[in-house]
Amino acid sequence: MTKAKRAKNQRSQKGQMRVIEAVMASLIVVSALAFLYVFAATPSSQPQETSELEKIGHNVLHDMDEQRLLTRFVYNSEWANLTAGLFVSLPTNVYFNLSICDVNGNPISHPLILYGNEQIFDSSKAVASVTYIVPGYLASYSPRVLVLKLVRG
Amino acid sequence: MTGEAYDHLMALVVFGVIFTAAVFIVPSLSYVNLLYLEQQQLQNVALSAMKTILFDAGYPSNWGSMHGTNMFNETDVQRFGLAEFGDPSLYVLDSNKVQRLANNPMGNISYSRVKELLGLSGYDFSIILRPLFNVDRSVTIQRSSDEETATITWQANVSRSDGQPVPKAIVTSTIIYAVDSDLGYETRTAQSRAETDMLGRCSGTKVVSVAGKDEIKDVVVIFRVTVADRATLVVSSQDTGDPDDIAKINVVGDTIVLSIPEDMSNPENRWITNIQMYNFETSINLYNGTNKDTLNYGSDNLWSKIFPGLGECEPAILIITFWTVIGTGRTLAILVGPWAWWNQGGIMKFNPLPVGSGASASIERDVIIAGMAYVAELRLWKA
Repeated sequence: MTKAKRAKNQRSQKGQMRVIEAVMASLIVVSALAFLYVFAATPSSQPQETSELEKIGHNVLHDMDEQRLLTRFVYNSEWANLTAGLFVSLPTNVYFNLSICDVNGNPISHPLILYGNEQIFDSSKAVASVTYIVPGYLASYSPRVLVLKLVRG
Repeated sequence: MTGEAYDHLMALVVFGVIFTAAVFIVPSLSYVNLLYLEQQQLQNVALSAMKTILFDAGYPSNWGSMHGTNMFNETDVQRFGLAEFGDPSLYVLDSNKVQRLANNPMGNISYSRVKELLGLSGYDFSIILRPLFNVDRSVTIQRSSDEETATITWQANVSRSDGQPVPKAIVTSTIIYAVDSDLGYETRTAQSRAETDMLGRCSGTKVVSVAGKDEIKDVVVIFRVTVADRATLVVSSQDTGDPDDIAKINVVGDTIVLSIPEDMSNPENRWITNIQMYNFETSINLYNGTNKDTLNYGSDNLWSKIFPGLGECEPAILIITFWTVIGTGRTLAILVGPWAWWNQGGIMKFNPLPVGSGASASIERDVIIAGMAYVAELRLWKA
């Protein structure tokens, strides 16, 4: 190998080293920024989303109660009407699942009062739950606890 | 020497690519976060504003009806809120206050005044009140040449706001027709009922007829659509003339106020022949007009009458029949009120400006106005 060729090889190796240095420097800068983002306090949407859904759920149940429909549906077992009432009252992208029990927490037998896929309530991280109590219907006192689960689709 | 130059060039290109990627990606990451923070802030402001609008009665607590039959003055409102005063229930709105948001012949509250009262400087917002579900309808009214029969054919499509059809909705159409009879001017009603199919559609035909020399002069159809007994009302466009050309209807407490429209396209005298109140299922006759019940552009440009207990009844709709000039001749015409938004498919928009391109917040709540359920939506964005 001639002297000139050896010198050329050395310069070429230097150049390659510069490329590697540049890549490494850039990686260090990017990884430092990424590291900072890990510790950056990014806001979480879940609590706010759940809180908003809870307000919507309470609002709808309250309005149906105000119009004296909720108690009628629950105590007369008008489950189809109850489902339809919730379906048209809740925002279009909100799925619901309603269960009813007595004051001791024993479930009242009723068909599924559901809109949307049942699995979405297990898989979603932002499921809101609203508990609403109706005291009775007409003159009879027989409280029922309505548990309305809501999730955005 | 050439190889070294290539290596340096390559190093420069690699570094440049990584640097450019970093320059674009890093700020966009922080922009997403900033946008999200702004969204949350807007959501909180919107929640607070919505709470005031729906739960506060404002001050004076009767600001929607405090001026009686005089012109409404917005500077007298010191605090804004639409809640019904004295009603312990939540989400119940005062129809007198809601009327002040619409274009109202007795005066309305301006967007800038509401914005000032809500303390929303730096933000813009719009309030939308709409029925729980959409009712697209088409009505064809065919009157025979002798004006003895009228055939009303209608179709209705009931859907949610995203267009999803609502099956098994009960559509009750109440047909109101004005009759010029031997006994005088009468307003009669007939009903027809149908249920929507799986695609949310239904239709019907109803023939109304009169005997002898009686003549049908005008027809209006009111659709009452119920899903699980949650109802909404929609009024069809009327058969004769432009309703806005005849009179403006307003209710202030127990008083019905009729006023002449501002334009002068129909300067002829109008006589009020009949007033009916429609409350979801039935219509109740309130008043039969006399020769003295007139409206014109002269001294009688405002007509008002007190009906004790009317405010408590909160009529869903008033049906008023006039003896007025339509086209070239005088005829009976039916007008439906009091809210201007009946003619817009039951939707009222207060400052319907388009939402800006940045972050915005939207909050929906079910509310009750005059015994009927609506959706109140508040949209808020940075000014």
